[in-house]
This record gives sequence, C-alpha cells and structure tokens, in this order.
Amino acid sequence: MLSARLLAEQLTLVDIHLFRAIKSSEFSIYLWGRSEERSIRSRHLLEYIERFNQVGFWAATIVLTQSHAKDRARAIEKLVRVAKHCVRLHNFNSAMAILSGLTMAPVNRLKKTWLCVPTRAMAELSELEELFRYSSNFKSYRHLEHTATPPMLPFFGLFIKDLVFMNDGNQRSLPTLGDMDGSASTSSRSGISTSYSSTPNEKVHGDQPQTKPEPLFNFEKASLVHGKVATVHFLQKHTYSFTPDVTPIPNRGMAPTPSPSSTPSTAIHLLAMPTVRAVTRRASAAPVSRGSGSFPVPDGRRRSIANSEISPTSSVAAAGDSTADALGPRVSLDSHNTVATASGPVVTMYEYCRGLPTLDEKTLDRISRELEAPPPAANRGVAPSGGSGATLIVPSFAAAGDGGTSAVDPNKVEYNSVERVVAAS
Amino acid sequence: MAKVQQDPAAVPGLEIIDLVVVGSGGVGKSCMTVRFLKDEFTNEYDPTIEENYRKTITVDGVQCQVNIVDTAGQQEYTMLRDQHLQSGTGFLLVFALNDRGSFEEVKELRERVLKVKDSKRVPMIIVGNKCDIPPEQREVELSAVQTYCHGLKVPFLETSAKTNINVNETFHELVRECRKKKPEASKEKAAAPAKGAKKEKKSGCAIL
Repeated sequence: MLSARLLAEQLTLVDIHLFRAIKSSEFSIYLWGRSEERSIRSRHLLEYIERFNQVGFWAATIVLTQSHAKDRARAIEKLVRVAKHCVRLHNFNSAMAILSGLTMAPVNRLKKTWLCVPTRAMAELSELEELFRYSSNFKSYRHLEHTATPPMLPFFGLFIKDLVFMNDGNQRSLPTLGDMDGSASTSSRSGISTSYSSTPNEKVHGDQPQTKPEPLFNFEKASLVHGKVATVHFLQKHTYSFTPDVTPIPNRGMAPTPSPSSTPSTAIHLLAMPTVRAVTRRASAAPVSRGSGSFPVPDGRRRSIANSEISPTSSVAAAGDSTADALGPRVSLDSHNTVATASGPVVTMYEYCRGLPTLDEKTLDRISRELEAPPPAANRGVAPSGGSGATLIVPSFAAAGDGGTSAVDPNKVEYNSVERVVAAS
Repeated sequence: MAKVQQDPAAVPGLEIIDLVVVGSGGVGKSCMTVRFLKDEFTNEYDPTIEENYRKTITVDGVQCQVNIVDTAGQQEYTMLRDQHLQSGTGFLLVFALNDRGSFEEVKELRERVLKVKDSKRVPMIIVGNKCDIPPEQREVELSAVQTYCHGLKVPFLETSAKTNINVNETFHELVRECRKKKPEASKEKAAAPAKGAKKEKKSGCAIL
C-alpha cells in the first residue's frame, strides 16, 4: 500500500503544474469574456478548476469501488490522511477537493461504511471539515491561508468566488459630487476590463451611465481585483522541492477480487489503475468487463458500471489505445515517466495522480444506492433508478456484500460509538 | 430540516438563517446578494471580510441574522454543488427574465435542492431578475412562471438588482418561508433521521 504522504505529494506536484500554467490574463477572460471565448482563452484556468472536480470524484470513486463496508471505511481513512498531508503541504485546493468527495451525497449516505471508520479518522475528518467550513465566510480557512507560507495552492473555488464578487459588488465608476442621489450605486458586470483585457470590449463603453460630468474611476475596485490576481502571480513563482515519483505502481490491488465469497480483501484498491489495457492484458484471466474502465469494481456491480457511461471528463479512456489516452486527454504532459515493460506500459505514481480515474456522478449515485440498500427496501429503492443492470444486481450483492459486514462488525461499531460519546462529553 | 446554528459571534437568542442563492451564470445572483448585503454608504465591497456575507434584518417584527451562501462564479465547480445546497435552510432560485434557459435551469435546481435536502418541502423562492429590461427583450413568459410557481406553492417575485426593485422583499419573503417550515421540519426529523447527519447517527448507535 502506498503511503498517504507520497500520494499527497504527487497530487500536489500535478496541481502546481496546472496552477502555474494559468496566465493572469485568463482571469479577465473568465470574468468579462464571452462564454465561447472562455473555453479557449482561459483554458488553463478552467483546467485547474476541472482538476478540483477530478480529485473530488476520484476520492468518491475510490470509496465506492470497494466491495465491503470495511474496505470502504479504510479507503475513507486513507483519503482523510491524504487530505491531511495536503494541508500540511499547503495544498488546500486538493485537501478541499478530497473533502468534497467524501461529503458528496453518494458517499455521505453510506451508513454502514461510516460506522466502520475508526474514531481517530473521524476526528481528523471533523477537524478538516471545521477548517474548511462555510460558516462566517470561511473564517478558519482564510486565517490558515493568510498565515501559510508558499509554496501554496489556495482553495481556488473561494478565490474565484471572491474575484467575482469584487467585480460584481463594486461599480466601475463612482458618482461625481453633483450626482450623489444614489442612482449611481448600480453595480454592473462590465467591470474594469480595459485595464486587464486586451480585447476591445465595446460593451463597457455602451454600459456607462449617461452622466453629464465625467464619472470617477473606481480605483478601490481596481486595487482589490489587482491584489487578488497578484496573489496568484506571486504564488506561481514557488515550487515544491520533491520530484515526480517514477516508481511503477505495484500490481497489488489492481485486479478485482475474483469472487465475492473470498475472504475480505485487506488491500485497499487505492491504486485503481488508469491503464486499462495494461491491466486487462496482464491479468487476462481476471474478469474485467469491457467499458468498466480500470476499476477494481466490486463483484456484482461490475455489470452496472459497464452499462453506465464513463463521464466524458473522466480520465479513464476505456477504449484508449495509447497510454496517453488512458491518462486523460485534458492534462497533456509529456509521458517521459512511463516505464515500459514486456507486458505493456506500467504507470508511475506521478502519472497515476495526473490521470486519476473517476466515475461520473450518476454512476456513483447508483453504486451508492445499491451498496447499502437494506435488503427489504432494496426493490423499492432501486426500481426508480431504472438502470438496465440495476435490478439484476441488487439481490446478489445484498446477500454477499454488506450482509457479511454487518455480521462481522458489531464490536467495532460499538467501540466507535462509545468512543465518540466519550469524546463528545 | 431547519438548521439553526449557533455562531459564537452572534447575539445570544438571535435567530440565524442560512440562505443559499443559486441560478445559472449571468442572471445577476451576485448583484442580488451584494445589493441586499451592502451598506449603501460604502463604496468598497470586499468579499473576503466576514461581515460581508451576513446581515441582521427584522422580518415581521422579529430580528434575525441572515447568512448568505452565494454560488456565483462557481458554476464549473460541480463537486461543490451539493455542498452548497447542503449548507442552506432557504433557497433563492434566480433566473433572468431575458434568458429562457435560466428558467429551465431553475426547474432543475429545484429538483436538486429537494433531492439534496431529502424533503418534499424546502423553503424556497423563485426570482425573475432583470425586470428593468425593456418588454421586447423578455424571453420568459410571466404566465408560464406563475403557473409553475403556483402549482408548486413556491412564491415568485420579479426583481431588479440593478435598480433595486424587490430585492429586500425577496429576502424577507424567504425568511418568512423558512419560519413557516420550521415546525414541519422538526416533525419530519423526528420521523426519519436526516441524511448527512453523521454525528447524530453515531451517537444514536451508542444506545444500541
């Protein structure tokens, strides 16, 4: 099993690479550009935002692709540690992304799983949640970010939100003294584009209030927006001291467990491999269904995933012919870290972190509902989802999957809850 | 699921309501929020300051503190969507009267809110912003919106963040909706434990 520290470091390396690629001008396109312009001219910015979603969906995917509640709990435990390491590395963006993955509805509703998560990990998770809490306008997080030293990757969602509000919440020009009747407190989206954007924006001039005297330029607003963008510019100058890890990912935990009746696997499939073909080819005997990507899909659910769509943004290219495809089309870095072996390309830790495998939201939602649906309510609960494979799957795994876990775990459950009560009192 | 938080900075006993502003991009969400929150006498609005997302208002003679969670600028953050919704008690679903697509989005958002909150009745209000635009630019038919809102018993208001029409009224109305919902919510909670309340579930198991 790979260390949480290594995972966090490699995730961070990928993140900083994407973060440093963002140009200052992209912010102005993002704020003031036309929507069709955005995807081209603020490409790096959007890629970095998408990275956040990718990390989040990856976290949820890792948890939900474990067959047993215990294993899911261990995956959560591991991810909490990865997130903690991210915080330690000042990679607040990925820490928040992992946290969102774990609080996402499909993961959040796994009652049995959460009962198996050790008390310590739960405490650590609450600490993290506290840190990234919305309340009081991210007070604790803002304090943390303020006191942290670079290299740092700020929580970009908050950054973007602040920027939008600075732009929308402050008018471009101020009323002159003769025009203080309140009508000028109009905030418009036009902004101060001329200072940053190289694009001629006629709209800005068209939107100007028709006041007789020349309106005053709102320098406060320009200063706020500039300060924000300058922070990014400053942070982009710093890099991390560690380097991409080129160790090939060990084979352990790649292939799905052959049958649900086998002993509960102790290996966490945190290394759901992104290289589809490499894995399937090597373990050709292992029943990896086509289209299921590279996941060690829990038995019984394999079919449902196979039938579902893999998200278009997913880095898992099920039919990918090259390593580059399998590593995700969005992040195009050179693949010098690929280690080729006789049996096909093997992915390094860094590459794995770059092309994190993810399932789309709908699939995650369905797996989640199937995973811990109580047997009597299963038919009722699953019917509306209407998935072609869903009705087939539920009975088989209601018996095999969590039935066993709940029988195994009562001690642990009791231990957990007692501990929590003690901790709370 | 009315969430009454205790903010350490708050006046004891003051009712605290978390409102979430949602809607597609460019409908004027952030302008609505800023218009509601901003002190009229300051020129500078700094969103990083804590006080700039909350306001104490008096609705029907009762004071309450309103915290605003605005999702402006976060359309691309699909991962954060549910989290935003989970954090709120009342919801402001905003569309622009000159953008038909944004009204369709409101319908979807409503479904999403109900799903995330796991309830059939969540305090919300539907808002048609930009009512200051000339009539020929209107894309959304008023009667269609009214029929939709009436059928669902969701209040609807036309607003203009730009010219400050109905902005305060919208937030006040939503506070009323939240208050209406409260007694119902506690009943519902007693019947079926709310999802997302991990901690409560845990302590519940200790009894077993």
